[in-house]
Amino acid sequence: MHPLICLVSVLAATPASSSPTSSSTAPRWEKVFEAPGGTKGWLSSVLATPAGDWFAGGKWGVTRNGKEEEETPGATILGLSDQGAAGVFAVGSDELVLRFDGKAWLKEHVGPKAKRRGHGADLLDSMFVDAKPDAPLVAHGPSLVLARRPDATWAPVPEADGKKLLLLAELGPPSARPPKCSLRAWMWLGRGLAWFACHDGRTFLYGNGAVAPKGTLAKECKASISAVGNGGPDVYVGCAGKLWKTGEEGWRPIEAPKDERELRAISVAKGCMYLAGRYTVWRNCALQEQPPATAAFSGIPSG
Amino acid sequence: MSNTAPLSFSMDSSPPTGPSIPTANEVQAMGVIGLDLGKTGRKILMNQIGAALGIPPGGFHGQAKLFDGHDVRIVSLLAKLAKEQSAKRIAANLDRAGRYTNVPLMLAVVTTAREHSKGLTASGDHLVDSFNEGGLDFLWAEKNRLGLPNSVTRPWVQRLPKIINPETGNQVEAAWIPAHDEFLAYAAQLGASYNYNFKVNLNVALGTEADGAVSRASRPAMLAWAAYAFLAPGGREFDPKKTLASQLGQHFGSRTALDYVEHMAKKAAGTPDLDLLIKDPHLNHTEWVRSAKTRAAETLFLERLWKRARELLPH
Repeated sequence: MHPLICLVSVLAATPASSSPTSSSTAPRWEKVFEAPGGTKGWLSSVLATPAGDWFAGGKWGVTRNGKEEEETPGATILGLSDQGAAGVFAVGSDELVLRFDGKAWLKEHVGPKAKRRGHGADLLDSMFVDAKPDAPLVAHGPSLVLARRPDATWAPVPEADGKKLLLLAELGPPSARPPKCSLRAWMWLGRGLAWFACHDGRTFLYGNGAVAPKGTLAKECKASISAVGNGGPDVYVGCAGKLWKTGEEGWRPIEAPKDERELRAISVAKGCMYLAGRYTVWRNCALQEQPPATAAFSGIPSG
Repeated sequence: MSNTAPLSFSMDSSPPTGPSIPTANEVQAMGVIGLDLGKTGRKILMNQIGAALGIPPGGFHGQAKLFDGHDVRIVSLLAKLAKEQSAKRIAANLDRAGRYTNVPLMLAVVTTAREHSKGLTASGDHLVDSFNEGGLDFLWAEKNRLGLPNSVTRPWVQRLPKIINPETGNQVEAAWIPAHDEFLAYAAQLGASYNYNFKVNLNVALGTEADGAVSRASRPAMLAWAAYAFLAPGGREFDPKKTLASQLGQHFGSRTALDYVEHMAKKAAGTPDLDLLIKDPHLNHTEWVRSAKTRAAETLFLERLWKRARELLPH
């Protein structure tokens, strides 16, 4: 494992730091990274952390702050997650699990090379599906579920438990859904924190058993949602190439980067929002720093 | 009439008369009759059907194989139909698909059997992943053009985050759907591919000749077109300046083939002939056409069994 110096030309005007500016009416989107390899390279995910770093992963591997690269020859990064003290995890094809410990990337797991093309060895995300302190960290793909053991190795979860974890990871706990909510989409945003939408358009933030309403989704998002992220209690959704934000006042459109048609991932931290398009990572630091997401649940009894 | 009498196939390939959805008894009888034909009877019947579709005796090899060793490939499907429990489940899925779609149901059976055979007997309202368990990678994106009522699609859940295909980098728009909708989803997708992709491409390629071409086409050819539109709805534009052989391949989708039909009609100063798909052996050099013909052949085979089942069973 060797961090490489970034091969990519970063934007002309990289801010000196990612600290937030004061609230501004005009979002300022800047290109901070382009996937190596031109049209053959592409991005799958972006992640901003409270420590002020940002990561982007894709076909070639993963970058930290657009400067340090970890290449993953033959494997593709498909998901990134920040698991606090446990570190930042990058997961991908061939059961690949990488962990960034603050200094370097460690390869914690890789599966045997698949004999056949397929998705059975893909990992898409890693998360604590249970908010309890002793809950295991799991990484999952369309069919595979791995759990991290205390010695930092990963092992497949037995099928029956794996299926339950997979459903929890993909669809959340059924008990979270309010009355008359036919689930339309569910997305975990952090440990114990998720956003979900019902078919009637209602949206909610779910945290540790409580549910906070987040307004009715814009009509433009009826067909398909492409990405979801949160900055504290505010939720951002990408749909039909547009970006939407919910706050106390409900959903409203906000400016998305021009010329970006495919919003693949959203991540917000330290007052900056990062968007991953197919080839480009964009940053906008003209956001107000938000209180923690738990603020959304004030006054709502825990379930 | 014995159910072991040999079955034959003629160009009269109409579906069985009577109700458009088979009963559980009919489904089971189809399996039993098919198994009772024996290897030889099944091979003879399948080769007769294959001949009508321009499939060489013994079928194609590879993905589009019609025969497996000394028997037809769908013998395992026949065994499934012949079991009472699975026949009931399949009939329930056929009933649901028949109520909400307007596609040849046996083509939907064959398609599901090849794409994800568990979908044939899937039941219950527990959610299954259309990507992992069904191969319907764009079901969520297609949802609104499948022609299904909201009451059916309301329990469907969009898969988030979207999956990215590690090989292509393209996003997949799959959905979680109740298990009992899996077969229905294949049927609806077949219908949408035919009604939108095929018909639009047909009108673009043949213009005012489109309707006439469809009415003149044989049923085996139209089944093959429907299967083709499901497998490869698009494709590159056919380039009349290049040879056909140089254009056959992954990008020779059903749209390309329709352009080819139009090109051949112009060349012969005649009317467009959609049966060209089953008559022109050069088209067999593309995997899509081989697969489409194989699926059409298996569809006609099942329909032949269905006809016999309906003749034999008391009304």
